[in-house]
Amino acid sequence: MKQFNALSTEEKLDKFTPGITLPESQRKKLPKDYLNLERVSVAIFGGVGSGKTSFVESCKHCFNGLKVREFEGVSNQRGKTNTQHSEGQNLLSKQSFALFEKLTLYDSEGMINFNKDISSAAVQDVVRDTSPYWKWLCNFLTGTTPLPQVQCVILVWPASSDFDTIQELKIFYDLYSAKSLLSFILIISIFLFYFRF
Amino acid sequence: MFIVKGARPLILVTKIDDNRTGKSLDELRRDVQGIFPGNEPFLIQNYTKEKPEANENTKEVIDDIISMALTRCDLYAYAQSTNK
Repeated sequence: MKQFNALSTEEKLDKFTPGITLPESQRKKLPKDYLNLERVSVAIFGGVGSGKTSFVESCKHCFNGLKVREFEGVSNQRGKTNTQHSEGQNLLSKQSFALFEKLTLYDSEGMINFNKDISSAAVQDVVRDTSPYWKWLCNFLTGTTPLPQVQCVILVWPASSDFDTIQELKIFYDLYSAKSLLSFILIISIFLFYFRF
Repeated sequence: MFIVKGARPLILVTKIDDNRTGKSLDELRRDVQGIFPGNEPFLIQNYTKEKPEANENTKEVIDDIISMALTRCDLYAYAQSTNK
C-alpha cells in the first residue's frame, strides 16, 4: 500500500489493479467481479460549461501528450459520439485513451435546469420525470442502468457559479451518497446487534 | 467510515482564474467545505486553447485527483461488497 502511494500518477495508472489501494483485510472482501475488472470507470458530472470536457482533455494533455491546440477537435468528436447513442444512453460518452488503459473517464452532457426538473430529493419522485436525461441519471443513481458501472464520480462546477447552481449540485451529491449512507447505518445496526446479544 | 467516504463524489472546482469570483483560493476552498463538509475540493484551471499554459500547478492537481479517483474506485467497491 505504501509502495503504491509512493508512485507517480503515471506509474499508479500503469500498475493499478482493482483493490490494490486497500489494505489486505479489505481487499479480501471485494467481490470477484470487481477484482477481475480490467479497468475501473470514473464519470464526470456538472453543469453546462463547467469544464468537464476541458478537464478530460487536460488529463489527455498531461498523460497522453495531446496538444492543446487539438482540444477543439476532441470536443467535436465527443458531441458526435453522444448523438450516436440511443435514447437513454446519451448522457455519458466514453473517453478512453492509451495511457489510461486501467482507467476509463466518462464525460457527460451538462446538467440543465436541475432545480426545475427535480422537485423532491426522493429518488422515486425523480424517476417519474419523463426527460431522457433524468431517466438515465436516476437509473444510474439507483443502479438500474444497463450502462457501464461507474466506481467513482467527479462533480465539477466553475468557481464563479451562483448559489442556485451549487444547490443543484448539492442535491445530486446527496442523492449519489444516500445509498451508501444507508449501507453504513445498516452495518452499524448489525454491529450493535451482535454486541448487544 | 470507509463506506461513506468511498461513495462520495470527488469535488472539482474549475476556472479558478475567473476574475468574477473575487475570491481567493482559500476562500473558494472554505466555501466548498461549507457546502460539502469534510470533502476536500480540488481547484483547477484547465488547459484551454485560450490558456494553453493554464497554471503552474494544473498538472499537480490532475495528478492528485486521478490518484484519488483510483482509490475511490476501490473504496466504492468495498462499500458495495459490505452492503450485500
